[in-house]
Amino acid sequence: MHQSELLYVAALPLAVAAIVTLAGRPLRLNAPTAWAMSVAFGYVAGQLGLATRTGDALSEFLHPREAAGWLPHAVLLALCATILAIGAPRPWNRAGIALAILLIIGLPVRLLHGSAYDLRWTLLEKSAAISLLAIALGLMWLALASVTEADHRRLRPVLLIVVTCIIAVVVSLSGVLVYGELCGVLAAALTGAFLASRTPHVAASAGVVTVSLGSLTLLSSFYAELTPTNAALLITAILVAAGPIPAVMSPRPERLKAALRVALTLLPLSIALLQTIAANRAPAAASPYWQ
Amino acid sequence: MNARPKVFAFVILAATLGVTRLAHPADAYKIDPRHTSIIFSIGHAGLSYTYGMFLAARGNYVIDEENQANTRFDLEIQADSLFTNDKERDDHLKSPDFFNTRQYPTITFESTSCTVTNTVDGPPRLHIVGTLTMHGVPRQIEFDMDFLAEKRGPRGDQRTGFFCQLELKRSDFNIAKGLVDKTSVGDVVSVTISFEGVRSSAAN
Repeated sequence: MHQSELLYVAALPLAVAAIVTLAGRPLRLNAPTAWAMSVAFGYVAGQLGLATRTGDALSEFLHPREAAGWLPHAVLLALCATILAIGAPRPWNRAGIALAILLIIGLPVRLLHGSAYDLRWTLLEKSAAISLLAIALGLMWLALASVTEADHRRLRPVLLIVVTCIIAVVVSLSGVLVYGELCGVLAAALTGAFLASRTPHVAASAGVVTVSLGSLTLLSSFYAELTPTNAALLITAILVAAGPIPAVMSPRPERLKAALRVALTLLPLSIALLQTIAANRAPAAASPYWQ
Repeated sequence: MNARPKVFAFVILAATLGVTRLAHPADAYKIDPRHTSIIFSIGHAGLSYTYGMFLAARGNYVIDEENQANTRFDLEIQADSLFTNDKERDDHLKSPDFFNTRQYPTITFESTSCTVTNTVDGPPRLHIVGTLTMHGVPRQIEFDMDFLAEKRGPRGDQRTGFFCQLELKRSDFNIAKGLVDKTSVGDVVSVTISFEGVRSSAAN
């Protein structure tokens, strides 16, 4: 990886996320809001930084062309929805929920607009696909936001960072480096927020993580060669890493719960990673001309 | 002798000729996909050139010898039909790292002006200006195209054939711009297109 890519994929989002977290203290931002803002701004800074490689980052931001070009907007909208939902008084917090619902419905529509699928599908197929994707994104957001922050407060962000890094590798090996880089940007933003934060609030970044990581998984499935099985495994890993523990597990000792969370996170990740590596190592079809 | 009938006859004759001139039909052609070749080459690490082609294309064109402003060419290429004889490379070229063919399924060209310049030796040449939209980016391009022949095909259909070569920059269309440096994958792409068209009707 070139030095400029290391800067934009790793250093810039990490630094921005850390700075926003640290700046939140003198500004007396509440910790969940500061966490959500640091992850969101870190991600946006990293993606815009990568866009400077083409020489027109501002133009890309103002007039996105590629589907992934809409992710900074979606992440900022998710941040707004989060801030409204968790920090605003009624009825503004309901506005945050409404914004979140509009976002998870509009996001698949936007990402698939004008694509080969948009041209090929009938109206019924489009409606079904958008509905399923919106439901999946919505459930992911709900699951990540509903966790009790005291549950594995330090373990969950670390696991989420590991999961995001592995997703970056799987997506890159599935044939699309640019989406892998963006997953790396998110991992760096999460890392910056975690290192600078006294108390991580992963649940507060549920919307930002869902919109960014969920969208990148969706894009890799539709526009690259990430298989549906691997996509499902990666989403499962995200939910297990940062989501709530099943109620049946609650009475168990903390260390056992932590060990299970780690194991159940690494299991689907490992399967997806090994499947992707195996697919890449499969020998090319033999030439019919040379025996 | 009263000159009025002569003037009247002259006016009628001139109007008839004018109407005839205005009604002279341009010829509309449908591009024959089986006799259309779109080949490109791009440098690889300064070591060699990699050649590829697009296997699926269609289009129409109109040739109006009387009024060049009516001459136009429209071409639509299926981006997903890209072929470089290496599946792994083809899949990568079709991915969002390069052409992103699932988001941008077609490459289109629409001419905006065609000027005929007859060569002293060789086939007539057209100077084409038009909009090439590739990877979602529209760009105006200009190139020269040779008119090769007009003949009846083996089935009696009237055909015309053309040939052109042009150079494009992948960075102008934001293809792998910034992702791949120009030393590993060249920026300049040489494109060769040759096609035949079957006359379908007199164009309106």
